[in-house]
Amino acid sequence: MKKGILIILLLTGVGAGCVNQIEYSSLGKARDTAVPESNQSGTTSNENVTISFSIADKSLVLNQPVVLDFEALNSSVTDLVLDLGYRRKENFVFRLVLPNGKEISIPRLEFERSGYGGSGIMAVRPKQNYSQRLVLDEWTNFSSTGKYILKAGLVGQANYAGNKSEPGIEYQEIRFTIGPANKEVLRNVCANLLNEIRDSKSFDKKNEAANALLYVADPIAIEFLRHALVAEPMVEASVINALRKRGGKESVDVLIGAIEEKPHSEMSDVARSALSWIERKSEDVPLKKRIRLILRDYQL
Amino acid sequence: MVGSYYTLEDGIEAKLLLNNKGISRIEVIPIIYSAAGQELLLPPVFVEAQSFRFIDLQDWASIGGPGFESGNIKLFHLGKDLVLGAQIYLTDEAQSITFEEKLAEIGEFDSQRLETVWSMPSNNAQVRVTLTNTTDAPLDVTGILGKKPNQTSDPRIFSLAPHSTRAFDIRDEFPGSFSFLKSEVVALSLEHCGSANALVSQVYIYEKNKGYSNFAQFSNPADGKSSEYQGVGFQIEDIGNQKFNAGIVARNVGPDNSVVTINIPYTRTDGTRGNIALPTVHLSPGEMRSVNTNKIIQRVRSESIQIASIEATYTSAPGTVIIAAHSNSNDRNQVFRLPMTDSFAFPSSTGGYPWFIDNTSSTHIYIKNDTDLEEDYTVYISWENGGSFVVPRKSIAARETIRIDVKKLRDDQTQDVSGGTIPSWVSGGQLQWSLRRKDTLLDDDQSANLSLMGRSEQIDLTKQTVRSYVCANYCLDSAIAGRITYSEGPIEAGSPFQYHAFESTVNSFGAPTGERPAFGVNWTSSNPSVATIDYDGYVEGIGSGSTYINASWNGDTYEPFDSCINRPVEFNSDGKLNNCQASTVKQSKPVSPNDGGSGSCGSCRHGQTYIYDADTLNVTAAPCAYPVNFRQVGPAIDSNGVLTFYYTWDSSTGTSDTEVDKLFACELGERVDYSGSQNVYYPPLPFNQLAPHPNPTILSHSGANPRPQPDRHGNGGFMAPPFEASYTATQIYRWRCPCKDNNQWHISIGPHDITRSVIATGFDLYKYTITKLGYSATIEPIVFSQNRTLSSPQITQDTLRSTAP
Repeated sequence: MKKGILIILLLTGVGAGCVNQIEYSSLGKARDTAVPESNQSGTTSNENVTISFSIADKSLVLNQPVVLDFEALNSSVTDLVLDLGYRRKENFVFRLVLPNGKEISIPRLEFERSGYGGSGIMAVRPKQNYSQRLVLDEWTNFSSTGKYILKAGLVGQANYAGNKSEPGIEYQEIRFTIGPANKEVLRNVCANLLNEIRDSKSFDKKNEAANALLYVADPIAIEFLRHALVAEPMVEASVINALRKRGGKESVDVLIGAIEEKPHSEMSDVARSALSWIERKSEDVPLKKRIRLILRDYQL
Repeated sequence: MVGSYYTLEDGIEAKLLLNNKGISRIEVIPIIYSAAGQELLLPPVFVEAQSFRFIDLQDWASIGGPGFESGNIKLFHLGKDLVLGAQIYLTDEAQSITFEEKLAEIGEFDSQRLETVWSMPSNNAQVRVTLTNTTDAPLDVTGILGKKPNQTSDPRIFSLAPHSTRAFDIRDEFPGSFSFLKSEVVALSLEHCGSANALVSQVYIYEKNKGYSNFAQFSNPADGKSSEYQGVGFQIEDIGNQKFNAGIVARNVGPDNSVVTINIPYTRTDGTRGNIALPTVHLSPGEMRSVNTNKIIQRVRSESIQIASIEATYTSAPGTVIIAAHSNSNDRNQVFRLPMTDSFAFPSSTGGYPWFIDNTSSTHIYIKNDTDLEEDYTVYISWENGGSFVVPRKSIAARETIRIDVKKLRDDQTQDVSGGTIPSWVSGGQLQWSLRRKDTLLDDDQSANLSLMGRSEQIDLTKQTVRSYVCANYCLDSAIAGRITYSEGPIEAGSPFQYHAFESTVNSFGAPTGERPAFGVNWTSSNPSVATIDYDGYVEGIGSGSTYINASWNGDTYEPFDSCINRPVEFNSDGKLNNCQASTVKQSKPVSPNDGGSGSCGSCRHGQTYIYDADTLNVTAAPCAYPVNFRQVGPAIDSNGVLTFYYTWDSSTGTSDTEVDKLFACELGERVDYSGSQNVYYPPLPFNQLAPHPNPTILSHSGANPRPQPDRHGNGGFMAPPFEASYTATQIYRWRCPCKDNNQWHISIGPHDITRSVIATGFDLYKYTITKLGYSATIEPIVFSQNRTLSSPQITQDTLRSTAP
């Protein structure tokens, strides 16, 4: 990492108290940001570089996605070149202290090296910032209630002051709590994410919100995914992919609805593909039969 | 105002500084009295607004003729309280000796009992005392000399004719004083039964052959308002090769035992702060001692200290302990005197000083926060013809001391809040500073108004002279007006724009003290559908139209307020008049008696004024930015059978990164359709049926940077199990933007084929080839072994999702 560069990482739980409070800037919307004069909790910094993690709402509920906001602040006068890894995710590394006190190392994400895009090389302009939202559920499940300690780091970003538990990686600790499941909280989480999908001006930001929505591990999210699919064509691929992964009757209902609404659209193409995937994976015979009928009826 | 002593004898140069901090010219009527008390009324002198001037007292003494070589001064003016600062400088440049005396305001002090203590630099030092009778009646003054630990001389009575000045060497007037002056700590007590303002006195300590000059500060124990002293700006760090010794002495002038605690808070050159806790000193009544300062020396040797101050507290009643402090170079030629101030008796969170730079000297300003709260302060430096240098509002941490070197600001061409500098030809002017309340403090938290203390020092390292100057303004600066920056035309929706708000202040005499960015501004937009604005004044244009941007905030104001008006006369249990300050409590500072005087009832009333300004902001729709010139960068790269293309693009608004970043709302990517299938949801063999390849495959990202982006065509999942096959997919690169054609897709490149094939090249030997746009990549050989595993130079079993045929 170049000397004279500042990076900040933020970890944010998605909840009623945090959504819409953080401005996710694309590079084009980056705004000058004052450099903190001193380290804060969850922050490491050198002369011009700071890395920090934070959770705005430290009290989450079960099945609520745990979202990491990554922010890089470049206080230097030169571009900051940042390698976040393939698809801007592979270079993030995490360790997790579970509620039972056991510390686990979370495997890094690995994607198939195929397809368009996915470069993790980001350039942050001088005196500007870059922020990104990561859903930690993409890395691991948070299936227990209790107090967690997340240790987050970035491979290859080694030149910062901080705790070094592995060579070249500096982990920062973020503490948060997952409480019992609460439908009302999850409903608010989903509603806020749907608003973000609708209202955000950035393509990336819309998809980040959609990605968070798909990790709401509760059937309550299905209805919001349906609304997202209708409201914002730019998240079609993300939402349908989410429904494919989720599977089950509710997801199939949404996918069939999408096909029926616009049978000659790209959304229909992708929805059919997702349905075929679910059909092959599912062991629910009536569901498989229903999908086959739909695919036959809408075979183009 | 009265000054106790001037002299032109023995090569001494005497000058009078008159500093006008107000906005009007001040007429000053001077009277000088000869040492014998002969009066000479002089023509008035004028001091222009916000300026200072020096009077050579030789000129005035010459008018008086013989007998006026020494004497005292009285000044009259009709300006507001504290608007005029006056100080006498006595200088013997040849001996590097200098003394200063701030003129006292008649009616603001009680001289019936005066106490002082000082440290003797050596047995050879001379001590000269001046006693001046400021009244029209004769005055008898009783003096008692003291030495460490608590010995006192016989009383000595000095008879002073009206307006006369008696200047004498202690050795000449106090029998047996020789032994006293051999002590390292000496004290002098004065008492008289004249009027409260009858006596002004100074003690001068000097060694002509060393260039050592110091003076002792008198105080009346009855004027004490707290049991603490502050010394602002203590020179303990080295200057060049010169090392400094600190001298701190204390005397108990009260009836009870007392324990003195002294701390030296300091700031290192790296900005961090520390503290030196000196050993406590136990003083019985009448006892005097020097404080062990070895810890200061040790700390200076081990750390890089930039600036320090003194904080002293004692356990007995307010005013019952007096403390003197100074530091001197090892050769005793350079002496830094440090006035020790009872900040409760002289609350002064603002100040106005002259500054001047000649060839070798400069003015340093010290400001110290003597509370446990972080505060803000402002500094305004002015010079002739209206020039000014405005330091932005800054924070000063609890117990922190800051130093402003005006010469350094000028020579470094440091920029002020608006980018201006102090011209190199400017050599003098005025400096005003003021505390600014933190917005987080409650309005009625009056103690927050009284947190800072200040002092200026004129330092000449070549001539090895140092002069100190302290002069408070009556009240803190007040905000009187504000404005915002206006939009100079319509802005495009989505384009960044920031409003700024500025606040203008004046000192308590009405003189301007600069315009700075305002704090705590409430920004609003009358039409959020056109533009929104955040707490920092950042505007986000939403849609076409006009909106009214309004900024408002509360500015602090201060005005003189006499809290004693209509207050009944009260007497304390000791029979003394209970004036305003007498009722104050140490831990809660007096309710803004910010007058800088002693015994005055004057105070300042804190209020707020509503400041606002507004602008009409027009927002126009931003031109639609969409991707153009989507193109391949360089040839495709074959890496172990993975064929990678790189693509870049521009924006319709331009090719720079800034313009391409405007594509943040656009979706840019690929769609790949796998053909030849009678059912789109089952990609045909040899494509891996269980691999998560949706058909079509859609990959997208934001159109904003970074550029270029790769497109990798891998082999995973295609070749297992190996047998001859060929498969073609159709790819398009495409984009869409919400602002362009109702978010419809546009093709950048394509459609074109991506063909993957596996052919047999021998027994159980295969070759994999991928081809696109004239480029191809191969893996060869792929070996299908007897145990039904695959091997090749590039492929491991793990990369292949093997599936039973």
